[in-house]
Amino acid sequence: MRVGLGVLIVGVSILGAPALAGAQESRLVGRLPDDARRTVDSVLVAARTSGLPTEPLVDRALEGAAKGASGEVIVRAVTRLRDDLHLARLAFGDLATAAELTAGASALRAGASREDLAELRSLRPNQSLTIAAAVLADLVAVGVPTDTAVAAVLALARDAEDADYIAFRRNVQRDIALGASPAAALGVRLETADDLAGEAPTPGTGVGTPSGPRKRKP
Amino acid sequence: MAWFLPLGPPLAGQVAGTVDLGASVVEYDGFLVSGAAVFAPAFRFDAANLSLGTQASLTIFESGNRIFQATAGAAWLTPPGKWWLIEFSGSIGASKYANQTAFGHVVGRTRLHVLSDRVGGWVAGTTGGSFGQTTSVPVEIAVGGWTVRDRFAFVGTATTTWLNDDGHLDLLGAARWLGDRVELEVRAAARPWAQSAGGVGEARSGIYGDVSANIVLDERISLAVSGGSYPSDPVRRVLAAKYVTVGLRLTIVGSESAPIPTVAGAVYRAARDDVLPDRDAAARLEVAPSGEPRTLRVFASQATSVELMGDFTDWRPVALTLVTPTLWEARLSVAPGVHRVNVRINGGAWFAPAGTRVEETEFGGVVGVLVVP
Repeated sequence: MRVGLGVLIVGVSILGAPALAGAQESRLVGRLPDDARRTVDSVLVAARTSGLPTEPLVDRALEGAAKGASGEVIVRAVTRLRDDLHLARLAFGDLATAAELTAGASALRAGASREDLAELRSLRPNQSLTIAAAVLADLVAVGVPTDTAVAAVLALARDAEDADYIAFRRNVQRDIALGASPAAALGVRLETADDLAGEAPTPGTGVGTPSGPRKRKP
Repeated sequence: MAWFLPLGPPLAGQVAGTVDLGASVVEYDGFLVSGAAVFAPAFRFDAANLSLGTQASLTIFESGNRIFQATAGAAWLTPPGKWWLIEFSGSIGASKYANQTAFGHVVGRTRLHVLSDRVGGWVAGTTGGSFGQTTSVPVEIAVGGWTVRDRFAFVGTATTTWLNDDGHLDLLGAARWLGDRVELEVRAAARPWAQSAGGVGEARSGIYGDVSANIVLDERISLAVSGGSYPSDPVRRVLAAKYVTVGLRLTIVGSESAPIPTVAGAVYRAARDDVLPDRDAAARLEVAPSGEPRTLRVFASQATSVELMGDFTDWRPVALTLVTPTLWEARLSVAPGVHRVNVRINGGAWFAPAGTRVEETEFGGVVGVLVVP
Protein backbone atom coordinates (compact mmCIF):
# COMPACT_ATOMS: atom_id res chain seq x y z
CA MET A 1 0.00 0.00 0.00
CA ARG A 2 2.80 2.36 0.91
CA VAL A 3 4.50 1.64 -2.42
CA GLY A 4 1.27 2.22 -4.27
CA LEU A 5 0.83 5.70 -2.78
CA GLY A 6 4.37 6.64 -3.66
CA VAL A 7 3.84 5.62 -7.23
CA LEU A 8 0.65 7.58 -7.34
CA ILE A 9 2.31 10.74 -6.00
CA VAL A 10 5.21 10.45 -8.41
CA GLY A 11 2.77 9.88 -11.21
CA VAL A 12 0.80 13.00 -10.37
CA SER A 13 4.00 15.02 -10.19
CA ILE A 14 5.16 13.80 -13.55
CA LEU A 15 1.81 14.41 -15.12
CA GLY A 16 1.38 17.77 -13.41
CA ALA A 17 4.65 19.44 -14.25
CA PRO A 18 4.12 19.82 -17.98
CA ALA A 19 0.61 21.10 -17.36
CA LEU A 20 1.94 23.80 -15.02
CA ALA A 21 4.73 24.71 -17.37
CA GLY A 22 2.29 25.25 -20.16
CA ALA A 23 -0.27 27.10 -18.00
CA GLN A 24 -1.41 30.42 -19.34
CA GLU A 25 -2.77 33.30 -17.33
CA SER A 26 -5.84 34.08 -19.40
CA ARG A 27 -5.93 37.76 -18.43
CA LEU A 28 -2.57 38.32 -20.06
CA VAL A 29 -3.65 36.91 -23.41
CA GLY A 30 -4.02 39.69 -25.93
CA ARG A 31 -2.63 42.31 -23.59
CA LEU A 32 1.07 41.43 -23.58
CA PRO A 33 3.31 40.67 -26.55
CA ASP A 34 3.47 36.89 -26.98
CA ASP A 35 7.13 36.59 -26.04
CA ALA A 36 6.70 38.63 -22.89
CA ARG A 37 3.52 36.77 -21.99
CA ARG A 38 5.28 33.42 -22.22
CA THR A 39 8.09 34.67 -20.01
CA VAL A 40 5.68 36.10 -17.47
CA ASP A 41 3.75 32.83 -17.51
CA SER A 42 6.92 30.98 -16.63
CA VAL A 43 7.58 33.42 -13.77
CA LEU A 44 4.06 32.79 -12.55
CA VAL A 45 4.53 29.02 -12.67
CA ALA A 46 7.75 29.29 -10.69
CA ALA A 47 6.15 31.61 -8.17
CA ARG A 48 3.18 29.31 -7.73
CA THR A 49 5.48 26.35 -7.27
CA SER A 50 7.39 28.13 -4.55
CA GLY A 51 4.22 29.22 -2.81
CA LEU A 52 4.31 32.89 -3.72
CA PRO A 53 1.07 34.67 -4.63
CA THR A 54 0.73 35.18 -8.36
CA GLU A 55 -2.04 37.75 -8.35
CA PRO A 56 0.27 40.71 -7.64
CA LEU A 57 2.52 39.56 -10.46
CA VAL A 58 -0.34 39.37 -12.92
CA ASP A 59 -1.48 42.80 -11.78
CA ARG A 60 1.97 44.25 -12.34
CA ALA A 61 2.10 42.81 -15.85
CA LEU A 62 -1.33 44.21 -16.64
CA GLU A 63 -0.28 47.60 -15.30
CA GLY A 64 2.68 47.63 -17.63
CA ALA A 65 0.52 46.61 -20.55
CA ALA A 66 -2.04 49.31 -19.78
CA LYS A 67 0.74 51.90 -19.71
CA GLY A 68 2.21 50.82 -23.00
CA ALA A 69 5.48 49.45 -21.61
CA SER A 70 7.58 47.14 -23.74
CA GLY A 71 7.58 43.41 -23.08
CA GLU A 72 11.12 43.60 -21.78
CA VAL A 73 10.25 46.27 -19.23
CA ILE A 74 7.17 44.36 -18.12
CA VAL A 75 9.15 41.16 -17.57
CA ARG A 76 11.75 43.07 -15.60
CA ALA A 77 9.11 44.66 -13.39
CA VAL A 78 7.35 41.34 -12.76
CA THR A 79 10.62 39.62 -11.92
CA ARG A 80 11.61 42.36 -9.51
CA LEU A 81 8.28 42.18 -7.75
CA ARG A 82 8.62 38.41 -7.46
CA ASP A 83 12.00 38.91 -5.79
CA ASP A 84 10.51 41.46 -3.38
CA LEU A 85 7.63 39.14 -2.55
CA HIS A 86 10.13 36.38 -1.87
CA LEU A 87 12.08 38.61 0.53
CA ALA A 88 8.87 39.68 2.25
CA ARG A 89 7.89 36.07 2.75
CA LEU A 90 11.25 35.28 4.25
CA ALA A 91 10.60 38.05 6.75
CA PHE A 92 6.89 37.48 7.41
CA GLY A 93 6.89 33.69 7.27
CA ASP A 94 5.26 31.06 5.12
CA LEU A 95 1.79 31.79 6.46
CA ALA A 96 1.81 35.42 5.32
CA THR A 97 -1.10 36.41 3.10
CA ALA A 98 -0.82 37.85 -0.38
CA ALA A 99 -1.88 41.25 0.96
CA GLU A 100 0.81 41.14 3.65
CA LEU A 101 3.47 40.15 1.15
CA THR A 102 2.42 42.89 -1.25
CA ALA A 103 2.58 45.47 1.54
CA GLY A 104 5.91 44.04 2.66
CA ALA A 105 7.29 44.30 -0.86
CA SER A 106 6.14 47.89 -0.95
CA ALA A 107 7.93 48.60 2.34
CA LEU A 108 11.10 46.98 1.04
CA ARG A 109 10.89 49.15 -2.05
CA ALA A 110 10.54 52.19 0.21
CA GLY A 111 13.76 51.34 2.01
CA ALA A 112 12.88 49.01 4.88
CA SER A 113 15.12 46.00 5.31
CA ARG A 114 14.18 42.37 5.55
CA GLU A 115 15.29 42.46 9.18
CA ASP A 116 12.91 45.37 9.87
CA LEU A 117 10.02 43.37 8.49
CA ALA A 118 11.02 40.30 10.44
CA GLU A 119 11.01 42.35 13.65
CA LEU A 120 7.58 43.68 12.76
CA ARG A 121 6.37 40.09 12.47
CA SER A 122 7.89 39.16 15.80
CA LEU A 123 6.12 42.09 17.48
CA ARG A 124 2.80 41.29 15.84
CA PRO A 125 2.82 37.51 15.64
CA ASN A 126 -0.94 37.09 15.39
CA GLN A 127 -2.02 40.29 13.68
CA SER A 128 -2.11 41.25 10.05
CA LEU A 129 0.94 43.15 8.92
CA THR A 130 -0.66 44.63 5.80
CA ILE A 131 -1.54 48.03 7.22
CA ALA A 132 1.58 48.38 9.35
CA ALA A 133 3.87 47.65 6.41
CA ALA A 134 1.90 49.92 4.10
CA VAL A 135 2.01 52.76 6.62
CA LEU A 136 5.75 52.33 6.88
CA ALA A 137 6.06 52.83 3.13
CA ASP A 138 3.69 55.80 3.28
CA LEU A 139 5.74 57.52 5.97
CA VAL A 140 8.92 57.18 3.95
CA ALA A 141 7.10 58.52 0.91
CA VAL A 142 6.11 61.73 2.72
CA GLY A 143 9.70 62.40 3.69
CA VAL A 144 10.21 60.67 7.02
CA PRO A 145 13.73 59.20 7.09
CA THR A 146 13.55 55.45 6.61
CA ASP A 147 15.15 54.51 9.91
CA THR A 148 12.84 56.91 11.76
CA ALA A 149 9.77 55.54 10.03
CA VAL A 150 10.82 51.99 10.79
CA ALA A 151 11.39 52.87 14.44
CA ALA A 152 7.97 54.50 14.68
CA VAL A 153 6.12 51.60 13.10
CA LEU A 154 7.93 49.14 15.33
CA ALA A 155 7.24 51.27 18.41
CA LEU A 156 3.53 51.04 17.73
CA ALA A 157 3.59 47.42 16.66
CA ARG A 158 2.83 45.72 19.95
CA ASP A 159 -0.34 47.59 20.91
CA ALA A 160 -1.65 49.42 17.87
CA GLU A 161 -4.64 48.23 15.88
CA ASP A 162 -4.80 48.78 12.14
CA ALA A 163 -7.08 51.76 12.69
CA ASP A 164 -4.47 53.26 14.99
CA TYR A 165 -1.84 52.98 12.29
CA ILE A 166 -4.13 54.67 9.79
CA ALA A 167 -4.94 57.47 12.23
CA PHE A 168 -1.26 57.87 13.01
CA ARG A 169 -0.35 58.17 9.35
CA ARG A 170 -3.16 60.61 8.69
CA ASN A 171 -2.10 62.84 11.55
CA VAL A 172 1.54 62.82 10.49
CA GLN A 173 0.56 63.70 6.94
CA ARG A 174 -1.69 66.48 8.19
CA ASP A 175 1.06 67.95 10.34
CA ILE A 176 3.43 67.88 7.41
CA ALA A 177 0.85 69.59 5.23
CA LEU A 178 0.60 72.29 7.89
CA GLY A 179 4.31 72.92 7.71
CA ALA A 180 5.95 70.55 10.21
CA SER A 181 9.04 68.68 9.15
CA PRO A 182 8.34 64.98 8.55
CA ALA A 183 10.58 63.84 11.39
CA ALA A 184 9.12 66.38 13.82
CA ALA A 185 5.57 65.51 12.85
CA LEU A 186 6.24 61.86 13.41
CA GLY A 187 7.90 62.50 16.76
CA VAL A 188 5.02 64.63 18.01
CA ARG A 189 2.45 62.08 16.97
CA LEU A 190 4.35 59.26 18.57
CA GLU A 191 4.29 61.12 21.86
CA THR A 192 0.58 61.78 21.67
CA ALA A 193 -1.10 58.66 22.87
CA ASP A 194 -4.52 60.01 22.01
CA ASP A 195 -3.72 59.84 18.35
CA LEU A 196 -3.64 56.09 18.53
CA ALA A 197 -7.28 56.03 19.48
CA GLY A 198 -8.37 58.34 16.67
CA GLU A 199 -10.73 61.21 17.20
CA ALA A 200 -13.56 60.16 19.46
CA PRO A 201 -17.02 61.65 18.98
CA THR A 202 -18.72 63.73 21.64
CA PRO A 203 -22.46 63.25 21.29
CA GLY A 204 -24.60 66.16 22.32
CA THR A 205 -26.88 66.01 25.33
CA GLY A 206 -29.58 68.13 26.87
CA VAL A 207 -33.21 67.64 27.84
CA GLY A 208 -35.89 70.26 27.98
CA THR A 209 -37.01 71.21 31.49
CA PRO A 210 -40.59 70.49 32.57
CA SER A 211 -43.01 73.32 32.01
CA GLY A 212 -45.95 74.72 33.96
CA PRO A 213 -49.19 72.92 34.81
CA ARG A 214 -51.25 74.54 32.05
CA LYS A 215 -49.55 72.27 29.57
CA ARG A 216 -50.21 68.61 28.78
CA LYS A 217 -48.20 65.81 27.27
CA PRO A 218 -48.48 65.50 23.50
CA MET B 1 -39.36 63.78 12.46
CA ALA B 2 -37.28 66.84 12.07
CA TRP B 3 -34.67 65.72 14.57
CA PHE B 4 -33.75 62.74 12.48
CA LEU B 5 -33.15 64.66 9.30
CA PRO B 6 -30.01 66.71 9.61
CA LEU B 7 -27.28 64.11 9.43
CA GLY B 8 -26.05 62.55 6.23
CA PRO B 9 -23.58 59.70 5.86
CA PRO B 10 -19.86 60.06 5.13
CA LEU B 11 -20.50 58.75 1.71
CA ALA B 12 -23.67 59.14 -0.40
CA GLY B 13 -24.64 56.27 -2.67
CA GLN B 14 -26.87 56.38 -5.68
CA VAL B 15 -29.60 54.38 -3.98
CA ALA B 16 -30.12 54.21 -0.24
CA GLY B 17 -33.00 52.90 1.82
CA THR B 18 -32.92 53.16 5.58
CA VAL B 19 -35.05 52.69 8.66
CA ASP B 20 -34.51 54.77 11.78
CA LEU B 21 -35.55 53.38 15.15
CA GLY B 22 -35.21 55.83 17.97
CA ALA B 23 -36.25 57.03 21.38
CA SER B 24 -36.74 60.71 22.19
CA VAL B 25 -37.49 63.01 25.04
CA VAL B 26 -39.14 66.10 23.61
CA GLU B 27 -40.80 69.26 24.85
CA TYR B 28 -42.89 70.85 22.15
CA ASP B 29 -43.90 74.47 22.41
CA GLY B 30 -47.11 74.47 24.46
CA PHE B 31 -46.77 70.88 25.74
CA LEU B 32 -45.13 69.09 28.64
CA VAL B 33 -42.03 67.00 28.30
CA SER B 34 -42.78 63.54 26.93
CA GLY B 35 -40.98 60.41 25.89
CA ALA B 36 -41.56 59.13 22.40
CA ALA B 37 -40.65 56.23 20.16
CA VAL B 38 -39.87 56.94 16.54
CA PHE B 39 -40.01 54.70 13.46
CA ALA B 40 -38.83 56.42 10.28
CA PRO B 41 -38.16 54.72 6.93
CA ALA B 42 -36.53 56.70 4.10
CA PHE B 43 -35.48 56.08 0.54
CA ARG B 44 -33.19 58.13 -1.66
CA PHE B 45 -32.02 58.03 -5.24
CA ASP B 46 -29.18 60.15 -6.64
CA ALA B 47 -28.28 60.51 -10.29
CA ALA B 48 -25.74 62.88 -11.75
CA ASN B 49 -27.88 66.01 -11.53
CA LEU B 50 -31.06 64.63 -10.00
CA SER B 51 -31.97 63.61 -6.48
CA LEU B 52 -35.24 62.02 -5.40
CA GLY B 53 -36.24 61.09 -1.90
CA THR B 54 -39.09 60.07 0.32
CA GLN B 55 -39.21 59.96 4.08
CA ALA B 56 -41.90 59.10 6.59
CA SER B 57 -42.10 58.83 10.34
CA LEU B 58 -44.43 57.53 12.98
CA THR B 59 -43.94 58.97 16.47
CA ILE B 60 -45.75 57.43 19.43
CA PHE B 61 -45.84 59.51 22.63
CA GLU B 62 -46.24 58.41 26.23
CA SER B 63 -49.90 59.39 26.09
CA GLY B 64 -50.49 57.00 23.21
CA ASN B 65 -51.06 59.89 20.80
CA ARG B 66 -49.28 59.61 17.50
CA ILE B 67 -47.90 61.83 14.75
CA PHE B 68 -47.63 60.46 11.25
CA GLN B 69 -45.62 62.51 8.81
CA ALA B 70 -44.48 61.89 5.23
CA THR B 71 -42.46 63.96 2.76
CA ALA B 72 -41.33 63.45 -0.81
CA GLY B 73 -38.93 65.71 -2.63
CA ALA B 74 -36.81 66.16 -5.72
CA ALA B 75 -33.94 68.41 -6.72
CA TRP B 76 -32.47 68.99 -10.16
CA LEU B 77 -29.25 70.83 -10.95
CA THR B 78 -28.51 72.50 -14.26
CA PRO B 79 -25.15 71.61 -15.84
CA PRO B 80 -22.60 73.79 -14.06
CA GLY B 81 -21.37 77.00 -15.64
CA LYS B 82 -17.86 78.23 -14.97
CA TRP B 83 -18.77 79.53 -11.52
CA TRP B 84 -22.50 79.05 -11.12
CA LEU B 85 -25.38 76.62 -11.41
CA ILE B 86 -29.10 76.67 -10.77
CA GLU B 87 -31.02 74.22 -8.60
CA PHE B 88 -34.73 73.57 -8.89
CA SER B 89 -36.31 71.61 -6.07
CA GLY B 90 -39.67 70.88 -4.60
CA SER B 91 -41.29 68.95 -1.82
CA ILE B 92 -44.73 67.76 -0.84
CA GLY B 93 -45.57 66.66 2.66
CA ALA B 94 -48.35 65.93 5.10
CA SER B 95 -48.69 65.32 8.82
CA LYS B 96 -51.44 64.15 11.13
CA TYR B 97 -51.41 64.42 14.94
CA ALA B 98 -53.92 62.48 17.05
CA ASN B 99 -57.45 63.45 15.97
CA GLN B 100 -56.55 66.95 14.86
CA THR B 101 -56.81 68.34 11.35
CA ALA B 102 -54.14 67.09 8.99
CA PHE B 103 -51.64 69.61 7.62
CA GLY B 104 -49.86 69.61 4.31
CA HIS B 105 -47.53 71.65 2.17
CA VAL B 106 -46.36 71.87 -1.43
CA VAL B 107 -43.40 74.13 -2.04
CA GLY B 108 -40.98 74.76 -4.88
CA ARG B 109 -37.62 76.47 -4.67
CA THR B 110 -35.14 77.94 -7.12
CA ARG B 111 -31.57 78.62 -6.06
CA LEU B 112 -28.73 80.29 -7.89
CA HIS B 113 -25.41 78.94 -6.66
CA VAL B 114 -22.05 80.63 -7.00
CA LEU B 115 -19.24 78.11 -6.60
CA SER B 116 -15.52 77.82 -6.23
CA ASP B 117 -13.40 75.07 -4.72
CA ARG B 118 -13.61 76.12 -1.09
CA VAL B 119 -16.18 78.90 -0.92
CA GLY B 120 -19.65 79.39 -2.33
CA GLY B 121 -22.97 81.05 -1.82
CA TRP B 122 -26.51 81.16 -3.06
CA VAL B 123 -29.73 83.13 -3.26
CA ALA B 124 -33.04 81.31 -3.23
CA GLY B 125 -36.75 81.90 -3.53
CA THR B 126 -39.42 79.48 -2.28
CA THR B 127 -43.18 79.54 -2.59
CA GLY B 128 -46.13 77.16 -2.77
CA GLY B 129 -49.04 76.33 -0.49
CA SER B 130 -49.52 75.44 3.16
CA PHE B 131 -52.75 73.61 3.93
CA GLY B 132 -54.70 72.87 7.10
CA GLN B 133 -57.67 74.60 8.65
CA THR B 134 -56.80 77.43 6.29
CA THR B 135 -54.72 77.66 3.12
CA SER B 136 -51.79 80.05 2.95
CA VAL B 137 -49.21 80.98 0.36
CA PRO B 138 -45.72 81.21 1.87
CA VAL B 139 -42.86 83.19 0.39
CA GLU B 140 -39.28 82.60 1.52
CA ILE B 141 -36.23 84.53 0.36
CA ALA B 142 -32.86 83.20 1.49
CA VAL B 143 -29.18 83.93 1.06
CA GLY B 144 -26.42 81.64 2.20
CA GLY B 145 -22.73 81.03 2.10
CA TRP B 146 -20.43 78.11 2.84
CA THR B 147 -16.78 77.32 3.05
CA VAL B 148 -14.81 74.13 3.58
CA ARG B 149 -11.52 73.75 5.43
CA ASP B 150 -9.85 70.41 5.86
CA ARG B 151 -12.54 68.20 7.40
CA PHE B 152 -14.73 71.11 8.45
CA ALA B 153 -17.58 72.74 6.59
CA PHE B 154 -19.25 75.96 7.66
CA VAL B 155 -22.62 77.16 6.41
CA GLY B 156 -24.45 80.38 7.19
CA THR B 157 -27.92 81.39 6.00
CA ALA B 158 -30.37 84.22 6.41
CA THR B 159 -34.01 83.50 5.53
CA THR B 160 -37.00 85.78 5.64
CA THR B 161 -40.41 84.13 5.49
CA TRP B 162 -43.84 85.55 4.94
CA LEU B 163 -47.10 83.66 5.48
CA ASN B 164 -50.21 85.80 5.08
CA ASP B 165 -49.65 88.77 7.39
CA ASP B 166 -47.04 87.02 9.55
CA GLY B 167 -43.34 87.10 8.93
CA HIS B 168 -40.02 86.27 10.53
CA LEU B 169 -36.28 86.33 9.94
CA ASP B 170 -34.07 83.33 10.67
CA LEU B 171 -30.27 83.37 10.94
CA LEU B 172 -28.48 80.03 10.98
CA GLY B 173 -24.86 79.07 11.40
CA ALA B 174 -23.74 75.46 11.15
CA ALA B 175 -20.40 73.73 11.45
CA ARG B 176 -19.88 70.19 10.33
CA TRP B 177 -16.90 67.91 10.98
CA LEU B 178 -16.49 64.76 8.97
CA GLY B 179 -14.37 61.96 10.38
CA ASP B 180 -13.78 58.53 8.95
CA ARG B 181 -16.66 56.99 10.83
CA VAL B 182 -18.12 59.90 12.74
CA GLU B 183 -19.89 63.00 11.59
CA LEU B 184 -20.60 65.87 13.97
CA GLU B 185 -22.71 68.93 13.38
CA VAL B 186 -23.35 71.95 15.56
CA ARG B 187 -26.02 74.46 14.62
CA ALA B 188 -26.86 77.79 16.17
CA ALA B 189 -29.95 79.70 15.09
CA ALA B 190 -31.51 83.01 15.96
CA ARG B 191 -34.92 84.43 15.12
CA PRO B 192 -34.28 88.10 15.87
CA TRP B 193 -37.52 89.35 14.37
CA ALA B 194 -40.98 87.81 14.22
CA GLN B 195 -44.34 89.33 13.41
CA SER B 196 -47.21 87.17 14.59
CA ALA B 197 -49.85 86.83 17.31
CA GLY B 198 -47.36 84.66 19.18
CA GLY B 199 -49.57 81.59 19.52
CA VAL B 200 -48.42 77.99 19.61
CA GLY B 201 -46.84 77.08 16.29
CA GLU B 202 -46.48 80.68 15.21
CA ALA B 203 -43.15 82.43 14.82
CA ARG B 204 -41.61 83.97 17.93
CA SER B 205 -38.24 85.53 18.50
CA GLY B 206 -35.65 83.38 20.19
CA ILE B 207 -32.30 81.66 20.21
CA TYR B 208 -31.93 78.00 19.29
CA GLY B 209 -29.22 75.44 18.81
CA ASP B 210 -28.55 71.75 18.64
CA VAL B 211 -25.76 69.19 18.26
CA SER B 212 -25.88 65.99 16.23
CA ALA B 213 -23.57 63.03 15.87
CA ASN B 214 -23.74 60.15 13.45
CA ILE B 215 -21.47 57.23 14.27
CA VAL B 216 -21.02 54.40 11.81
CA LEU B 217 -21.06 51.16 13.80
CA ASP B 218 -21.15 48.74 10.94
CA GLU B 219 -21.64 48.71 7.21
CA ARG B 220 -25.40 48.74 7.72
CA ILE B 221 -25.87 50.22 11.17
CA SER B 222 -25.11 53.66 12.49
CA LEU B 223 -25.90 55.39 15.75
CA ALA B 224 -27.50 58.84 15.61
CA VAL B 225 -27.49 61.04 18.71
CA SER B 226 -28.76 64.60 18.78
CA GLY B 227 -30.18 67.15 21.13
CA GLY B 228 -31.01 70.82 21.51
CA SER B 229 -33.78 73.06 20.29
CA TYR B 230 -35.18 74.30 17.01
CA PRO B 231 -37.68 77.01 16.07
CA SER B 232 -41.16 76.59 14.68
CA ASP B 233 -41.74 76.32 10.94
CA PRO B 234 -45.16 77.82 10.25
CA VAL B 235 -44.96 76.90 6.55
CA ARG B 236 -44.53 73.19 7.21
CA ARG B 237 -46.49 73.32 10.48
CA VAL B 238 -43.61 72.17 12.67
CA LEU B 239 -43.77 73.20 16.33
CA ALA B 240 -40.74 74.61 18.10
CA ALA B 241 -39.22 72.05 20.46
CA LYS B 242 -36.42 71.08 22.78
CA TYR B 243 -35.34 67.49 22.41
CA VAL B 244 -32.79 64.77 22.84
CA THR B 245 -32.91 61.61 20.81
CA VAL B 246 -30.93 58.42 20.36
CA GLY B 247 -31.54 56.15 17.44
CA LEU B 248 -30.19 53.41 15.25
CA ARG B 249 -30.18 53.77 11.49
CA LEU B 250 -30.44 50.48 9.61
CA THR B 251 -29.51 50.43 5.94
CA ILE B 252 -31.94 48.23 4.04
CA VAL B 253 -31.06 49.10 0.44
CA GLY B 254 -27.67 50.21 -0.83
CA SER B 255 -24.57 50.43 1.28
CA GLU B 256 -25.06 53.78 2.92
CA SER B 257 -25.87 54.33 6.53
CA ALA B 258 -28.31 57.17 6.14
CA PRO B 259 -30.38 59.19 3.71
CA ILE B 260 -29.81 62.83 3.11
CA PRO B 261 -32.75 65.16 3.75
CA THR B 262 -34.98 64.82 0.74
CA VAL B 263 -34.73 68.41 -0.41
CA ALA B 264 -31.29 69.19 0.97
CA GLY B 265 -29.59 71.77 -1.19
CA ALA B 266 -26.83 70.88 -3.55
CA VAL B 267 -24.51 73.32 -1.88
CA TYR B 268 -25.02 71.78 1.51
CA ARG B 269 -24.14 68.44 0.00
CA ALA B 270 -21.20 70.00 -1.76
CA ALA B 271 -20.03 71.43 1.53
CA ARG B 272 -20.21 67.99 3.07
CA ASP B 273 -18.68 66.23 0.10
CA ASP B 274 -15.70 68.52 -0.18
CA VAL B 275 -14.46 68.40 3.38
CA LEU B 276 -11.12 66.87 2.54
CA PRO B 277 -7.63 68.28 2.31
CA ASP B 278 -5.56 68.56 -0.86
CA ARG B 279 -8.26 70.49 -2.65
CA ASP B 280 -5.53 72.16 -4.66
CA ALA B 281 -4.67 68.85 -6.26
CA ALA B 282 -6.05 68.03 -9.69
CA ALA B 283 -8.01 65.18 -8.16
CA ARG B 284 -8.33 63.44 -4.84
CA LEU B 285 -9.32 59.80 -4.43
CA GLU B 286 -11.24 58.44 -1.48
CA VAL B 287 -12.38 54.85 -0.95
CA ALA B 288 -15.25 53.97 1.35
CA PRO B 289 -13.90 52.32 4.50
CA SER B 290 -16.35 49.43 4.17
CA GLY B 291 -18.90 47.88 1.87
CA GLU B 292 -18.81 45.53 -1.05
CA PRO B 293 -18.70 46.84 -3.65
CA ARG B 294 -17.03 49.94 -2.31
CA THR B 295 -17.73 53.50 -3.33
CA LEU B 296 -14.72 55.23 -4.87
CA ARG B 297 -14.96 58.98 -5.06
CA VAL B 298 -12.79 61.39 -6.96
CA PHE B 299 -12.98 65.09 -6.14
CA ALA B 300 -12.05 67.06 -9.26
CA SER B 301 -13.05 70.65 -9.76
CA GLN B 302 -12.34 71.18 -13.45
CA ALA B 303 -13.42 67.88 -14.98
CA THR B 304 -15.79 66.93 -17.74
CA SER B 305 -14.81 63.27 -17.47
CA VAL B 306 -12.96 61.24 -14.86
CA GLU B 307 -11.59 57.72 -15.36
CA LEU B 308 -9.80 55.38 -13.02
CA MET B 309 -7.82 52.19 -13.52
CA GLY B 310 -6.02 49.97 -11.07
CA ASP B 311 -5.27 46.41 -10.13
CA PHE B 312 -8.88 46.03 -9.00
CA THR B 313 -10.07 46.84 -12.54
CA ASP B 314 -7.46 44.57 -14.17
CA TRP B 315 -5.93 47.86 -15.29
CA ARG B 316 -8.80 48.65 -17.61
CA PRO B 317 -10.20 52.21 -17.48
CA VAL B 318 -13.51 52.70 -15.68
CA ALA B 319 -15.51 55.89 -16.22
CA LEU B 320 -16.81 57.54 -13.04
CA THR B 321 -20.26 59.09 -12.70
CA LEU B 322 -20.76 62.78 -11.93
CA VAL B 323 -22.54 63.25 -8.59
CA THR B 324 -22.02 66.93 -7.85
CA PRO B 325 -20.09 69.52 -9.85
CA THR B 326 -16.85 68.43 -8.18
CA LEU B 327 -17.55 64.85 -7.14
CA TRP B 328 -17.31 61.70 -9.27
CA GLU B 329 -18.11 58.20 -8.10
CA ALA B 330 -17.91 54.54 -9.06
CA ARG B 331 -18.82 51.41 -7.16
CA LEU B 332 -16.21 48.69 -7.57
CA SER B 333 -15.10 45.54 -5.84
CA VAL B 334 -11.91 46.41 -3.93
CA ALA B 335 -10.56 43.86 -1.47
CA PRO B 336 -8.75 44.98 1.69
CA GLY B 337 -5.03 45.36 1.10
CA VAL B 338 -2.57 47.45 -0.86
CA HIS B 339 -3.66 48.56 -4.32
CA ARG B 340 -2.22 50.56 -7.18
CA VAL B 341 -4.35 53.04 -9.05
CA ASN B 342 -4.19 55.84 -11.61
CA VAL B 343 -6.71 58.53 -12.53
CA ARG B 344 -7.08 60.71 -15.57
CA ILE B 345 -9.21 63.75 -16.19
CA ASN B 346 -10.73 64.84 -19.46
CA GLY B 347 -8.88 62.07 -21.31
CA GLY B 348 -5.47 63.45 -20.33
CA ALA B 349 -2.43 61.67 -18.92
CA TRP B 350 -2.76 59.10 -16.13
CA PHE B 351 -1.54 60.35 -12.76
CA ALA B 352 -1.52 59.41 -9.08
CA PRO B 353 -4.43 61.14 -7.34
CA ALA B 354 -4.06 62.91 -4.04
CA GLY B 355 -4.97 60.61 -1.19
CA THR B 356 -2.54 57.95 -2.41
CA ARG B 357 1.16 57.38 -1.97
CA VAL B 358 2.93 58.38 -5.17
CA GLU B 359 5.39 55.78 -6.40
CA GLU B 360 7.61 55.85 -9.44
CA THR B 361 7.04 52.87 -11.70
CA GLU B 362 9.26 50.88 -14.01
CA PHE B 363 6.85 51.78 -16.79
CA GLY B 364 7.51 55.51 -16.69
CA GLY B 365 5.37 57.94 -14.76
CA VAL B 366 3.85 57.32 -11.37
CA VAL B 367 1.20 55.22 -9.71
CA GLY B 368 -0.87 55.89 -6.61
CA VAL B 369 -0.55 53.28 -3.87
CA LEU B 370 -3.64 52.93 -1.76
CA VAL B 371 -4.20 51.06 1.49
CA VAL B 372 -7.72 49.71 1.87
CA PRO B 373 -8.42 48.52 5.44
